[in-house]
Amino acid sequence: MNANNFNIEDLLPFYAMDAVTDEERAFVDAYLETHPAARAELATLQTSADALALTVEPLTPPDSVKAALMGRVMEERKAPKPDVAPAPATPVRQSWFQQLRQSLVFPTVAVAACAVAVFFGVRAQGLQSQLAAQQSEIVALTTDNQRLSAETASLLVQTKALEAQLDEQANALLMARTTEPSFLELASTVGDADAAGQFWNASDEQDTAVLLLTGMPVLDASLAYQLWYVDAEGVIASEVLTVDDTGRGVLVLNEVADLTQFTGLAITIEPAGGSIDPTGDVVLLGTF
Amino acid sequence: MDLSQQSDEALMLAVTNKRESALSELYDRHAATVLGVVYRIVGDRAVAEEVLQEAFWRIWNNADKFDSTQGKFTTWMFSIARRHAIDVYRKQQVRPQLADSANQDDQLAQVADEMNVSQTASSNIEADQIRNAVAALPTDQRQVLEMAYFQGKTRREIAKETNIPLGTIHTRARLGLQRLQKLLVEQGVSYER
Repeated sequence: MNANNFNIEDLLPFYAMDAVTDEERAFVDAYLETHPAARAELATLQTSADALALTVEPLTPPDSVKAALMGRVMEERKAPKPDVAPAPATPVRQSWFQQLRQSLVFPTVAVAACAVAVFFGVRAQGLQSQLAAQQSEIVALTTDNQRLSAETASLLVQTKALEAQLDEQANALLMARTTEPSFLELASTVGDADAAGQFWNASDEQDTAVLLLTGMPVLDASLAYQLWYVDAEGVIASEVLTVDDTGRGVLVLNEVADLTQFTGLAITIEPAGGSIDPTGDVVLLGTF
Repeated sequence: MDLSQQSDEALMLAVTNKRESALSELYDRHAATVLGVVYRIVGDRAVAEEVLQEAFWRIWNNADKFDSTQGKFTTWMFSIARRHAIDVYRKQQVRPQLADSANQDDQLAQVADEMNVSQTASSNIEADQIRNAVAALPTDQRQVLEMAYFQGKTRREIAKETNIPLGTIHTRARLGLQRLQKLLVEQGVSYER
């Protein structure tokens, strides 16, 4: 008990539930400052008091409440800090004594006032310079900010375009993988271990392909290797190629048949101009 | 940084530094509970929603006054929300329930019914356990806690309204909170939010 007739034991539970008068609150606050045991007891009581809040069924607020709250927050952050306006000067009517006294001390006061004015004048000038410098800095930063915003917007547009391009390419690759074979190895049918062929269906549009032959025997000038598309009913002629002294030859096909229609590719030896139907033996064969 | 993993107190530190996302996270975490509490006090949904918004606005603007060494964020938050709700209620007198002291017994029975309904409706086991613990309090103790916590009435106001000696009110408040703590421990509820 104290001069206010307060008993801390009586007040703590109500303080924990925030149900005290201002006077009682001040008393408890002061008491807690110097009594750690009371603080510990209060913590326990507050835990129970907080639990009372959970006896109420929670209610989901509409989104508009949060929107309004966050709107206020954003507005506050955007709003400039209010300037502190100087208090308006109140005219004071002076007595004759005050006037006389002022007239006697005026010269001294005037000199002092001049000194003060000069001091503050210089100081004000310095502050004005600082202010001007800061304003310039703000303008520069604002310009930078605007430029960066524009650059960011431009980069975003470029990023979007690149993303679209990547998506397109990814789709094309997916199509290529799922619709047509893109690579095929051809092996010798006559037991020549060095002879081999590799066929790439190279472009997104599927209309360009490359055939690479390696380790092939060098043919007489009147002969050439010819590529054939193989299907269940037979073969369809494609183009001819020759190989160099190392047995290496490359054929670029700018118009490729729909490979899904065929079961494989074959290479035969034909007359240099090529044949409509195969006349020589198949030397390389690959199946899809 | 994943704010959802941060404690309330850590988020408050961020709110002190004026991070809106931290306030947003605290709102998402507690708004429903706070709205439930302030609605219980003011008894009007629209007014309760205004109080909710104002409470979080005050949390935003007074974040530097929160001291985590002095207590949990939820204690401070509920204090802000309840005080404002009680002020609004007293000014507008809009709350339709639990205001008439002559019907306290009926009101408490109603509260108990609401608690029972809540128990079956709620999927929150912890909240159910707390409701059970409060419902298990003796009626006279629960009455004092109800009047103090949800109506903001001081000990003298409660004594006057219930026509019960002040000393008895003191005892009931203390025993009520202590018993509630004991029941929560017995039920294994560690109320740390």
